[in-house]
Amino acid sequence: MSSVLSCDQLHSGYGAVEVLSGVSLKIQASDIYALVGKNGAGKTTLLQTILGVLKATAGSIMVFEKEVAGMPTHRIVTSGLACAPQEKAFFNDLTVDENLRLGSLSSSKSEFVSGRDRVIEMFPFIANRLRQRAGTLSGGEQAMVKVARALLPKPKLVLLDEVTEGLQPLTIDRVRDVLMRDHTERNTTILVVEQNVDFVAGFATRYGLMERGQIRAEGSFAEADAVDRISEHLSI
Amino acid sequence: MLELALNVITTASVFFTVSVGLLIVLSIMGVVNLAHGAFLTIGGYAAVVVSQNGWNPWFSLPLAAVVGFILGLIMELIVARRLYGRPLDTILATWGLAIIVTQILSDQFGRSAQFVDEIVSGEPFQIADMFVSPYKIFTIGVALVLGVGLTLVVRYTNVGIIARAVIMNPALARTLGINTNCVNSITFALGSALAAFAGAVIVPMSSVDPHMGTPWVVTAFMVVLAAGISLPALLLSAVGLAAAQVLATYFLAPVVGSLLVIAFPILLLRLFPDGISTFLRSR
Amino acid sequence: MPTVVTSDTPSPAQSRVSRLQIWAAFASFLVLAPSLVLGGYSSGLLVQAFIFGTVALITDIVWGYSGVLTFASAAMFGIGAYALGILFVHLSPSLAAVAAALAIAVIAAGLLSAVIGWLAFYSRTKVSDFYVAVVTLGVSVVFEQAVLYGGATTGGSNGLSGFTTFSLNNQSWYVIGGIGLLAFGGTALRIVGSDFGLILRAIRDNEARCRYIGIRTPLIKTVVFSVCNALLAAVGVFYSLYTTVVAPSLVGMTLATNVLIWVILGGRATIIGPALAAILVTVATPQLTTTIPLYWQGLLGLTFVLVVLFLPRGILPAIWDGIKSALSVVGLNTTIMAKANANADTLFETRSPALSSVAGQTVLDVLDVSKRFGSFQALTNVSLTVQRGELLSIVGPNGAGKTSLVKCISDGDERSSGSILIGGKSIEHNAPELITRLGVGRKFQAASIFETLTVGECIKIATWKGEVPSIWNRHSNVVLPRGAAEVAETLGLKHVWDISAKDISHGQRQALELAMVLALEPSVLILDEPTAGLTTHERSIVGDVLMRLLATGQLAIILIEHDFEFVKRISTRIVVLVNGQIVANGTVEEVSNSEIVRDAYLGRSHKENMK
Repeated sequence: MSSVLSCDQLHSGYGAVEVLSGVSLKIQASDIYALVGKNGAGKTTLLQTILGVLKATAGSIMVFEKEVAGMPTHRIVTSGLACAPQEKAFFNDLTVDENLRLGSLSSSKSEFVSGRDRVIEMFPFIANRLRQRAGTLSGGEQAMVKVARALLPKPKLVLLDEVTEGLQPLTIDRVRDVLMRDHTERNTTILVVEQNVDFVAGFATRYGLMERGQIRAEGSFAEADAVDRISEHLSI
Repeated sequence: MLELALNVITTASVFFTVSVGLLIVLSIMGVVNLAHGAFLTIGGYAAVVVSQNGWNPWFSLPLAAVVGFILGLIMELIVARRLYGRPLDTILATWGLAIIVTQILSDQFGRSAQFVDEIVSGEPFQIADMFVSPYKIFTIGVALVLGVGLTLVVRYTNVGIIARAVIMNPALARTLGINTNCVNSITFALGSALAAFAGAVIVPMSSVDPHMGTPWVVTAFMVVLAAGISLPALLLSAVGLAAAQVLATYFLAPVVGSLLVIAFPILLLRLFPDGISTFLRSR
Repeated sequence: MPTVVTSDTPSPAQSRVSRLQIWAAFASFLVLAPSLVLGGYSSGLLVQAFIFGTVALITDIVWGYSGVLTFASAAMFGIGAYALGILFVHLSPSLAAVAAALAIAVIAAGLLSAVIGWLAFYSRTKVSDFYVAVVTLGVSVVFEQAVLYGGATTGGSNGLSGFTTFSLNNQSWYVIGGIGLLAFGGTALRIVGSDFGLILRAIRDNEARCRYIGIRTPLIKTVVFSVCNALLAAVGVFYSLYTTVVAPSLVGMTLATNVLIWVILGGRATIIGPALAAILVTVATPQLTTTIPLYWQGLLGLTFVLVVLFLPRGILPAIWDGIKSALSVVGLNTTIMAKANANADTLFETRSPALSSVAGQTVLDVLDVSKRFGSFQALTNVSLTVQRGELLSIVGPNGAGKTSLVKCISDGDERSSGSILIGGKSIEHNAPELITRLGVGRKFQAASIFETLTVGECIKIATWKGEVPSIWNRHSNVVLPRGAAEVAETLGLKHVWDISAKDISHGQRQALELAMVLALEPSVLILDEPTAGLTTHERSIVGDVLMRLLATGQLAIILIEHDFEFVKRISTRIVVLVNGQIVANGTVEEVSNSEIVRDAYLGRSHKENMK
C-alpha cells in the first residue's frame, strides 16, 4: 500500500525554539490516524509544518509520495489535502457560504454547489446558516462547519486539529459519524490530532503518541490495550 | 450655497478617486504605498503622451491604468515583495521608488509644467442659478463608477471574497490554498493602476509636472487613514474631509483647509485607531 | 551560594574616556583641517554640510535609537530657520533678535513635539506603528503649506532672502559649524553610550517589555522627541543666520526626504553614519548635479531603495561588519572572547533583599473580574486572593482564559469590570509600567527580551526598576537581588553575559527573562509557561529556584503551566479555569484528584460535568 503522508526525522519550530525534534511517521492510504498528546507536545506544530506554515528545519515530508518540505502552503494544500485548523479557523465577517467557498476555490462553481449539497446532507443545520456570518456561529456549529469545509472539495487526505475541543458529546458523535461515512464512501485518509480518547477510540485505525516533539510510540486500535495505552499517555 | 454643496461633492469625488488605490493596497497588504503619488504623476504623463500624439483624450484613461498596472506589478515583484513583515521599511522603500519615478519623468519630459487636451471640455451649463462645468459632472461620474464597480466586485465575485479573506486572516487563506503572494502582486498592481487612472482624471485640475502627485499623496493618505479598511468608510471619509476643506477654504483660508484635512484624521485615529470603519462595523 | 565580589580592575569607563579623547582629537582634526586649504566656495559648502550632518545625527537619536520614525525633522529645522529669517527681515538683524529667534524656535518646536508625543505615545488605544510617521508627515506638509501661504511674513514660495547677517569670514563660519557638529556628535555619542542610551535602545527593541519592567516609555519618548526637535530648531536658526536664505524649497518636503536618505544610507543608530552620509551627499550634490544633472537624484533614490532592501542597517554598519569578519578570518577576533570569560566573576554583585514583608500577608486581590472581547466572554466574575509565600498555579484547557487573567492583573486597561488590588492598592486603569512599580513582575509566554542588547545589559536595565539612570555615564556595576543572581548563576547566563540576546539559546532566553523579572524584586511574580521548551534538567533547576524564592516569604508566584508534573511539584495551591470561570481552587491533592482537572487536561467536554 502506498503512503499518503510520511514524515522522516522532521525538525521544526518557532524561530530559535525547536518544537519538533525528529518526528517520523507514515500514514497509509485509508488510514485514520490519531495523533495523541498533551498540550505542548508539538501536535499542532507538526500539522503546521506539514502544511508549510512553519518551515521544516530538517527532515522530509512526503504528501502523496511527493516531497513538500519547503513548498509554499498554497501549493501543498491544493495537492488534494484539506485541513481544519484548531484556532482562528474562520473569516469571521464572511458568511458561512463564503467560508465554505474559500475552502474549495479550485473547484468549479457547479462542483462547489454539489459539494455543498453533500455537506448539508451531513450537517443539515448548515442549510439555514449559509447567509449567517461565521463569527456568530456557536462553538459546536463552528466545529461542524470547519469539518464540512474540509470535506467539501473531496480531499484524499484530511487533517483535523482538535476539532472536538470543548464540544458536547452529541456534537462529537455527529462529527465522528460524518467522518466515518466520508471515510467509507470515499476511502478518505484522515489524520486527527486529539486529546479526547473517547473520540478517537472505535474510530481511528492507528495512533501515535506524541511527547516533547517526538512520536514516542505507535500502535493499532486493533490491539486490545490501545485505549489504555493512550489514556495512560494522557494521564496526569 | 448650492454651489458650495456641488464643490463639496466634486472634491469628495476627486478625493475618493485618488485614494481608492491606496486603500486597496493598505487594506489587503498592510502596506503604505508612498509611491502612490508617483503613480498619480505617471497617469498625468499618460495624458501628456496622448495629447502630444493627438490621440483621443479619452484614451489617456485606459493607457494610464495599463501603464500603472504593469509598473506596479514590476515594483511589487522587485521591491515590495522583499519587505513583507517590515512595514516601516516599506514606507521608506516606496518613498525611494517615488523619487526614482519622479526623476525618470523629469528626464523624459522635462521639469516644466505640461498641458493636455481635456477629456471633458465644453462650456459650463446652468442649473437653477449656478453654473456647472461638465468636468465636475465627469469627476462625480468617475467616482460613482469606481465606487459601485469595486463594491460589486468585492461583494459578489470570488475575487472579492478572496481579497476580503486575505485582509481578515492571511494565514488561514494560505491554509485553504490561496496564493497570498499572487494576491499581493495583483493588489499592488491594481492599486497602482487605480492611482495612475486617477492621475489621468485629475489632469485638468493641476498642470502636469514631475511633482504633480506629491500634494495628492498626502491628501489620499489622510483620506484612507481616516477611513480605515472599508470602501463605504472611504466614501464617508472623502465626503467629510472634502467638506472640511471646501468650507474652510471658502470661509477662512486655503491653509486652514489643508490643515483640517491633515489634523482631522490625526485626531480621529488617536481616538479610534481603525478610523471611520470602527463605526460601520459595530452595527 | 554566589559570592559578593567587588571589582578592583580598572573600570571600562576609564579606558573608554581616554580612547574617547583620542577619537575626539582625531575627529576635530579631520573636520577642522580642510578649512586651512579649501577656498571660499568649498568651505562654504562644507558649513552647510556640517549643519545637515548635525540635523542627521539628531534625527538618528529620535529614529535610530528611540525607534520613532519621524518625518518632522525638516519642519522643526524650518521653524528655527524661519524664526530667524522673519525676525531679521521684519525687525532688525541683531544679537537680541538671534536670542529671540532661538527662544521662540526652541519653545515652539519643543511644545509642538510635546503635543505630537502626547498624541502618538500616550494613547491607551493601540495606535499603529504608522501613526507617529503619519503625524510627523502631516506636520511637515502643514509647515510647508503655512510658509507657502504665509504672505509677506514668510515671503511665500520665494521665501526670505538676502537679509543682513553678522559679517564673519568663511573660515570663522567654518570653524563654528565644525565645532558645532563635533559638539553635537560627541554629546550624542556620549548619551547613546550612557545608561540612558541603553534605555533608548531597549525601547526601540521591545517597548512592551520596557513597560513591564517599569520604564515610563511614553514619557521618555516624548521628552527625547521634544528635546531633539528643539535642538533641530536651534540648528535651523544657525542655518539661516549663515545662509541668509530661507525658502519652502529648502526646508520643506525636499529636506524631509533628504534627512531620511542620510539616516538610512549612513546607518540607523550609529550617529556617525548619518552625519557622514549627510556631509558627503551635501558636498557631492552640487558637483554631481553639474556633471550628471539628470541622474543624480534618481541615483540617490535608487541607492536608497537598494540600501533599504539589502542593507537595512545602513552602509557604515555593513562596512564595519565587513572589517570585523575580515579580522575574524585572520583570527584577531578571539581576543574578545577571552576578555569576556576573564571577567566572568566580576559581572555582578549580589544583594540580599531587605526583609520588610511577612509571609502570609495578602498581596493580590482579584475581585469579580470579567473580561469581554466583543461578544466573547473571556473571563466571568473571577475572584481570588493570593498571599506572600504562595505559589498559585492556574491550569485549564486552551482558551480557558489563563493568559487573559494574568493580563488583567498586569495591565489596568485589560479588564472589562471588577477590581484588582496589589498589596492593598487598587491598580485602577493604570498602564503596565505603573502596575510594575506596585510590585507585579510578569514573564511572558514567549520570552520577551531586548534582542540587540547583551544579556548583561538586559538584566542591568531591569535592576533600575524604571528609574531613569544617568544620561551621561555608563556604570559598569550591576547589583542583583539574590533570586535573579541565582538564575543567572545556575542557568548559565554568566557564560553569555556579553553576547547579544538575539544570539542565545531558547533556554537561555527563558532564563534571561526570568532573571530580568526577578531583578525587579516583585511581590507578585507572574510566570506564563516559564518552562516551555526547556529541557528536563533546566525545568528542575527553575523549579528549585522558584521554591527557594518562595521560602523567603517575600513574594507570591502565579504560574501558568501545561506540564502538570511540574505544577504538582512546586505549587502550594491550584486554581482551575474553564471557559473563563474558576471551577476549582484548592491544594494540590484536592485539585489533582478531582474529575474536573482530569477533564481539563484531557480536553473532554466540560459542560456536562459542570451540570
